[in-house]
Amino acid sequence: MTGLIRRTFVALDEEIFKSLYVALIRPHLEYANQPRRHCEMTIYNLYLFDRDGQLLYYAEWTRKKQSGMTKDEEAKLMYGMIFSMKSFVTKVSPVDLREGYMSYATNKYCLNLYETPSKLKFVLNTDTHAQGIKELLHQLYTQVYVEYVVFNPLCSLNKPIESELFATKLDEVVKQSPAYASRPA
Amino acid sequence: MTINSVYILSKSGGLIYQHDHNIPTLEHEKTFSFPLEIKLELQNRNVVVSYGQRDGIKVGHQLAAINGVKVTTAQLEDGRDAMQVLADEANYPINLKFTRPKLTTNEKIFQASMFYPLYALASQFSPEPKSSGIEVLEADNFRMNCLQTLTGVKFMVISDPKQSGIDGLLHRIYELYADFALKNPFYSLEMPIRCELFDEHMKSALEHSEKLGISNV
Repeated sequence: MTGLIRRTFVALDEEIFKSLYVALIRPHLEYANQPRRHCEMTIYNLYLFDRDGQLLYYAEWTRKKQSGMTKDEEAKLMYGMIFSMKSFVTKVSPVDLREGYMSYATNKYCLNLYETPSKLKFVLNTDTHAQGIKELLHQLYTQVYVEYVVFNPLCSLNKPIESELFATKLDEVVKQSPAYASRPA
Repeated sequence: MTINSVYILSKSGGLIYQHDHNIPTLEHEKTFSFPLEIKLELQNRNVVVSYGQRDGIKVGHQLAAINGVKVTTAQLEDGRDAMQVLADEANYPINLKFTRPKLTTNEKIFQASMFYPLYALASQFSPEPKSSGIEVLEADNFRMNCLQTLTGVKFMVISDPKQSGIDGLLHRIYELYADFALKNPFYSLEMPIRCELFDEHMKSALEHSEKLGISNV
């Protein structure tokens, strides 16, 4: 583009070049810059429910707004919502569902629900641009939950998880995922 | 590339319009010998598979026909009871047809009013301040887009996840709603929309965006 300006305009002084630069080159730079601005991705929080709707584990990373109720109440309400959403989805769906994964997005965030065959429910809130959350949730299940809770003889499967090892590993995996990475912690 | 159905909810959460555009019919036919390998039971006066999915027949599917004779509300067309026919060994081998159950109008109204609290809760659970309600709901093999207008009317379109141009379609439906329902002197707010012109335009809008969706890909 600069070459084009140099070729076309014979009498180039600093003033003219500046106005040409603003008119011709800057829009390109700004356009190229835009996708970068949208790439800010983050993971807000995670709920893990067992098959009876009990909250097994809760973690949050960059949550900016609290819902204004106790953790206990919030978990019950959240379970109630995903339970009725699941029934809504199966009823409304025009064809049979294959796997236990679904997500919804609002203009600010995206909620991802992954249900394992044993009815364990992983709920992960991310921002709307996050990619590959399904794989991340699957990874959390197979590489963190199964490894550090199911294989741990001290962990009871139907009690809230208190294992510190589980908490650190979970934090590690989430922070390593590309969906979390692009925002400074 | 299909658009399956359209729902319009009034601001108080009631279903005021519903249109099924393109619902795939899933049918599975299979000949069984005695004893039956799948377990059937009566649910809401329909014969439903409760255990033993196989060959595409899934739990929750409904019995639609026995030996080619239609079954409605657990009765064959000739008046025999479906469960009795199935229990009699003399009728085997038997050919059974199963379909995925379709939503009845009552169930549609029920599901539509269930979406209202989901929408409200979604904005309450937001980790960021000032979030809207659900805009896109995506599962494995369908997607639902929702547009809430400033007056609180919700338009929902259920489509294939690969279908494009749904946002445009939602705005087009909003326009149609304004033009053919609201400007209709015989239409009262919050009531079901029964208007031929609205139906016609809705159909053509859906067909148009389906075609457009294909050419865009």
